[in-house]
Amino acid sequence: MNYEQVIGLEVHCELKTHSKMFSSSAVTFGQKPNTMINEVDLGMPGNMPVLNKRGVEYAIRVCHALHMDIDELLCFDRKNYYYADLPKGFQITQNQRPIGRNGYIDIDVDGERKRIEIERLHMEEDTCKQFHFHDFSLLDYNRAGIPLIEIVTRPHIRSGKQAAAYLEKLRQILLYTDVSDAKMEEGSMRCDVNISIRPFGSDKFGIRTEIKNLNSISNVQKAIEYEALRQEKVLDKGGEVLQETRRFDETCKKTVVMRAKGGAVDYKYYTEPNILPIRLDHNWVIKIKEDLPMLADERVEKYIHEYGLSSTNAHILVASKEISDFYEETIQYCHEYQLVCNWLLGDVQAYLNKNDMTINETKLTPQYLGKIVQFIQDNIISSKQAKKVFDELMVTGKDPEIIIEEKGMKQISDPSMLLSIINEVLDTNEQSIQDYKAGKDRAIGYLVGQIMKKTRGQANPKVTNQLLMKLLKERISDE
Amino acid sequence: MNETEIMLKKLGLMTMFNVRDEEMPALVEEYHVFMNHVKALESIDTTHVEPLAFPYEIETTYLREDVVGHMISCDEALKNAKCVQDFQIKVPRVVV
Amino acid sequence: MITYSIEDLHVLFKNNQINPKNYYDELFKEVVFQQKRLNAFVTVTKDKAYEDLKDAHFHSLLSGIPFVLKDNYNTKGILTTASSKMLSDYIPVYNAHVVDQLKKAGCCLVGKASMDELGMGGTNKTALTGPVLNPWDSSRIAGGSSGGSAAVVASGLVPFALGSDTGDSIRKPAGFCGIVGFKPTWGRISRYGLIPYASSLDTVGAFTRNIRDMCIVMEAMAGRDDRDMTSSMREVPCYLNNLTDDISDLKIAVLTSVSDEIRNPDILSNFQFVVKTYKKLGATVENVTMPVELMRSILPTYTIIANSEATSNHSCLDGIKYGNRQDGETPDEIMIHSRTDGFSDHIKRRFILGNLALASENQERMFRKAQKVRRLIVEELNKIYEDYDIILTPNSGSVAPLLEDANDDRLNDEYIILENHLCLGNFAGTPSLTLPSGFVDGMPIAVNVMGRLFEEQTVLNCAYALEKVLGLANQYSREG
Repeated sequence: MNYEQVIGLEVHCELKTHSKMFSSSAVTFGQKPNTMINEVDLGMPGNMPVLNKRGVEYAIRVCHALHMDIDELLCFDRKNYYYADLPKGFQITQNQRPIGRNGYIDIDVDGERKRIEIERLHMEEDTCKQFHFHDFSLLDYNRAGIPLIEIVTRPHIRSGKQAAAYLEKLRQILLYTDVSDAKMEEGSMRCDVNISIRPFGSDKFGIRTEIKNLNSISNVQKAIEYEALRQEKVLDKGGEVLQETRRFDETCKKTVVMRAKGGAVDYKYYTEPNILPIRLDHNWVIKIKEDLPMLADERVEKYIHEYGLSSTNAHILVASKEISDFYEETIQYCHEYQLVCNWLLGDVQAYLNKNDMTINETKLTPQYLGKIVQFIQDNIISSKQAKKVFDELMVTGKDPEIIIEEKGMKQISDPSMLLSIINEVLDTNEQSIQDYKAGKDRAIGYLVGQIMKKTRGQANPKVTNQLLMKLLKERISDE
Repeated sequence: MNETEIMLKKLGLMTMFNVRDEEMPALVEEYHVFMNHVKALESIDTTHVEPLAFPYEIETTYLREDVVGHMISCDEALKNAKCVQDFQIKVPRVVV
Repeated sequence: MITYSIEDLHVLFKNNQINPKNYYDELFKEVVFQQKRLNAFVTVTKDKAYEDLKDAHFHSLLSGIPFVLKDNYNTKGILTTASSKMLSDYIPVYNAHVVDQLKKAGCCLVGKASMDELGMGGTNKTALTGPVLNPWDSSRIAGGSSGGSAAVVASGLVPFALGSDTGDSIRKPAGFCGIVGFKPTWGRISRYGLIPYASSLDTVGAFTRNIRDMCIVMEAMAGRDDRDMTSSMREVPCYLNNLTDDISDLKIAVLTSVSDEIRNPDILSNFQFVVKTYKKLGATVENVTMPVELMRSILPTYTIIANSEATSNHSCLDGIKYGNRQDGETPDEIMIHSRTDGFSDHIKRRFILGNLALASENQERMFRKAQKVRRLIVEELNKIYEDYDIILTPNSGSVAPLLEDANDDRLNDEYIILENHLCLGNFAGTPSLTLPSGFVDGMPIAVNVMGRLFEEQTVLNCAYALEKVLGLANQYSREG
């Protein structure tokens, strides 16, 4: 039989605030275990939560970027369950009234645009981190209490490919709104999949499974593709899909059972009694929208229409926020939009690939790149020299201006300076003038060589050629 | 065990308690008292009444500025824990 | 010598009429004596008291004044057990907000007082360290859950002690022990660092031996704390400066739904005398009632809400990060073994039933139903406050029970309203004060005055006027 996949995604994303969602301890990564905490994060008796303003601001930013309705009265609930990584024995979350409802993301898959509707976005807090060893686990509470937002789609996704496209787009939004690192490999963005299948044309939902522990977008796609096929086989054999939680095993590329439905937890949600409903200032909510950083789609539009870049180049630039940000900053220093783009996608990208680095890890700064491009444009150095400057800069981190100075690369393009040098050379090479007159073009090459020798290669070739021809013609006609 | 006892035993486990046999009679008794409480409330008409989660209806506007503040040392954090290794709390392996 | 009020002691210290060091030496001798008699302390913090005393300058009212905390207030570096085996070796890393406030005011901590386990009881018989006895008759209970705090004030040891009140945990023992007990408005004092029972009902409060001292203690603790989002931004009035016994413009409602339930003739006549006294003082005193079915639903509503919130609040007590830890093969087993071992049976029963009411298949019928009835009760109460400043009730239908008779089973028809009505103040969050009104069979009895939200001053004034007439301020019992 032919089946249709019905997929919904739940994405958790850690927010990069300074302090935690409900406590004032620091949000950090890779610090010494259990040093970035206080009594609140450890769930010590008598602690009370106080909501982080920036956490709310970031949630609102994403709500705006996802075109959501924002609930200006914040209400929080407790999600009660016992687990080793849950310090308080409950998680503070927004069950009844999520801050955002009814949003969407448009994705393009196989040349078609599709709108994925988002049901809700809510704020909550992270659990502590567990490190598993052979027969024990260690608990580090530094992660406990880090702000999270959870973004839940409606079951509108129909394939692993669509899921991947949605996640790419969502990740881009989280990056461009500047609220999160959104790294799936590092867990700052996590995705759970709900998937069922049904015969094409049916409007009923099949029994769904949940897939957890997916650590990359490509694994999400693979897990969905595997799981859909698995469910099809079960149904085709006349079997029944069981409602269960599964995980994706990366080594064998299969989904395997984590726990059956019987093990489902009752979270016993109820209103968090220590947080009164919080009324947001409407003007603040609006201002956050006005101040929203420009998102990837808008940047693409701008690159194409204002900067005259090709659609391909524009898309490549925004594919990485780091590169796009670098571009935006570089063109503050140098308005050669196309040249800067060429450099970033050409030499710079090649360097990054070769050295397996991100642009912010290199010694290149937007200002330096702007200078290089501007020097080329102003005929101060040649493209060939520019590459040398770039290579040197990536090693030493020196200002291109200083490199050019030190290497004596600066081109002489000033006609008045070149004029006297060319005249000197002509004065001492009468024979060449005669050769030229006799139609021996080789003489020009020789004269340019002499000029370059005199200027130690700094004479601007283009200007030199023009001036030389002009002067030669003058001398010949003078005779 | 009768049905109520089985239910209470299970509920006990969900509350992370192992209800011992000798505790069961008192628990069953208190369960019945509790259910009488539930029944007593059933007789009160609460149609169109919203639950009251706080003593009085009040909203706040306060949000904490995102500034790092009070933290405790690793020593303090772990001094009440019974089992510690490498500056972390140690538990038997968590089954994932 | 040790039985002075805050104001008296302040004057004596300030004018060098007594030597502070000698005073504390004698105090701690008395602590030993009273502890043997009443079993009120979990921890005596002698060293801490002398250390606090070093900072005392005696210029302000609370500087150098000794006090006791209920053992559910977190004290940094000092054992805090909430009288539960689960926390029997728990040393907090932080101070509760009010502990910091009182330290700032110059108070000296004498000890941590026994309580019903996690505050969940009304007899103080469930404390890990055993029952606390009544200073007026040590064959009787002090009441609970703040029994230890009540006993140390009523025996004259310290002029004030902190309690906490979820249903009547300050006011009941205050009445049984013949002292003043005050639960202010929910949100008036920060709960940060108070080990909770049921957060939507919990209130920080205190015991003193007179109303003026209560004003002083309240002023020191009340006010906004940014670590408790439910604490109020409202300014704190100068309760002591504003205190007056002129209550001629007060309108007092006698809630006869409660007082009509009194069976003990001596308690009834005492209450009638109080009503008459208020009339004589010039207040408008009128009878009001509340629907009996709502009055009878106070206990069921309280039981369901309090146990549900408690089971959630105490889910953190799992043996992993602190507290009693028992071995297990898995983290779940550790939690189950630690919790099974760490709580008394009656606490476990309440947690289990609280979880029953929160379970999603029951929540609408149980927990949320109770929250709805709570709203109906509060609305009914607020109707009374439309016309009256104060609601007056008897504090209890009996004197402190004998140790062997006391239990938490208050379902008996005679008691269901009379012994549970003080919860009204927790349901509505209103300020509620208990003060002694006389003696029956040699044991103190009391009345309760409850005011509107944040009108602590009115409540204090109303109590002050009665206290002056009855002459029962500053009573204590060192022996008996």
